[in-house]
Amino acid sequence: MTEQAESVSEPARGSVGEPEGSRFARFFDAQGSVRALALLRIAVGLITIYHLSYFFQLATPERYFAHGFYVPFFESWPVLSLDDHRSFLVVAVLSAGLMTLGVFTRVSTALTFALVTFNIMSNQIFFHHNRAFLMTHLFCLSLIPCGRVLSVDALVMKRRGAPLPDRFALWRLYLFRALACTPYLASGISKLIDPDWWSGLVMQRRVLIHGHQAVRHGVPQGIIDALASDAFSGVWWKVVVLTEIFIGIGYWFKPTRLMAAFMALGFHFFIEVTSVVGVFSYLGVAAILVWVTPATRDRALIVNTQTARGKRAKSWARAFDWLARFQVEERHDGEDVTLRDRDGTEHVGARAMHMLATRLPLLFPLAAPLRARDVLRAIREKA
Amino acid sequence: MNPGGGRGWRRAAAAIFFAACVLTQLVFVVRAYDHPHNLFGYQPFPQSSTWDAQIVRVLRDGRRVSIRNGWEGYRWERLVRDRGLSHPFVHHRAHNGIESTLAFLQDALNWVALNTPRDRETVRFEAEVHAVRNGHRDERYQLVSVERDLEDAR
Repeated sequence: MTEQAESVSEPARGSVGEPEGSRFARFFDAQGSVRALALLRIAVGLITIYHLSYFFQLATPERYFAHGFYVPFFESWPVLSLDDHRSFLVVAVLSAGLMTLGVFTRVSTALTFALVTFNIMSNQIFFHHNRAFLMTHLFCLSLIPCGRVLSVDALVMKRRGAPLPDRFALWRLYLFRALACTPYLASGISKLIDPDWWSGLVMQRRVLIHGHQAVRHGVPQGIIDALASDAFSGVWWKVVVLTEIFIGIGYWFKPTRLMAAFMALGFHFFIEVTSVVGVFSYLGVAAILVWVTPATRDRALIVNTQTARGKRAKSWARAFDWLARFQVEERHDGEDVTLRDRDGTEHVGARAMHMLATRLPLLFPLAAPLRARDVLRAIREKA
Repeated sequence: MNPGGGRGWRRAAAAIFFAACVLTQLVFVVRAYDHPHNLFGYQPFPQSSTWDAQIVRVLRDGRRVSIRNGWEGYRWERLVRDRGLSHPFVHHRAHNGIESTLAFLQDALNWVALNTPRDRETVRFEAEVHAVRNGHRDERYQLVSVERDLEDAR
């Protein structure tokens, strides 16, 4: 069986290998590639280690949570001594490391989820939305066989001559998607119906309260004054709330998915530079992978290796196509670069390069505006 | 033996699990509107309210003594270090809104009352909280800790 045939995409698209039966049966029987989630596993593993590093800083006699006021989620929840807590954190970091590398991936991912959850549940004061978001990611990844590719497990099995299939039941991905879009929708809607938030008052006051700290860090007073003005607050924070809601909804629909992903990048960048949100921004950017169509080698990249652009396209695909989206074909004549999409549409030249870059995770942030321009041009040409 | 039946059960189990997870998340989201810490409800930066509090020890003889300068070798800011509760005397932003701050402050009063064994004078702790909700209006709250068992402390 070819790699292309193995990778089945979402049931609604009617692609190769689509299961038969009722809509219900198709929803729960559909299979797809786990590759994007394997990449997400690596990112979340590293983010988890970063998250745990903060608790190492707190693991001193002066700062350990159980040496002062704390609120356990449950009265009977066990509280570790400081020495045991340090050992616990070492085990948690090792587990997250194994998860990242993909060693005993199902076990190490589930264990990482359990340990991170245990730690957060020790104290309600540890609870923050970014940590809840991390728990959600670890929970969903522990349901998915995300060690079947991009892992030591996969490498070992391949060497033994029994490569792991990169397929999994897609309903787990849909569950992940439902939980991953919740923070955007829940936050956006709560702010939409709160008059103080919608009017911009909440964030305007936040700027007023913390503005002096920003000035101390070199931000000009004029900028703080502008940010705290009624005119700016009245418009900007409405845009932010609507952006959050758009991301939460836009991810679900194919025509708006790319735009939602790009707006999520900008949204998380904005939050990261203006607020302290722990690992939320990193998770939000990594979670874009949840929305990648679960199929591999479903596009063709035809490159003329006699041309500079063709060579560039080939090297980009070789270095950055971590999601294995492209089947690369080399030619010695014709167009420098041709990209054949899933539906058979062909893009050539610069447009093919832009399209290629939007499908390569590392280049996506830079390429999305170019691709958006191409799409707008195409719409104008059609009109 | 019915292989199709096994698949049906697997689908049903998956459907129940899927629905339970989504429903649980929805419950948390809805509950967050009425929960001080909006746990798992994803409502970050809910307010820009500010607060301060005067915390006193109520002694056996009825005197009320501020804890600002410490007591019996204890200092509030060393016992209560998180969520902006360590310096209640200074008017500052309420982390995660007023309701969350009040709930944690109540827990902190109780915790301090139960975890300061050298103190054999204090019957209870009381906090007079002054809050300003999103800059609109002043609000006042009175919080009282659990009663301390001084016989036990002796």
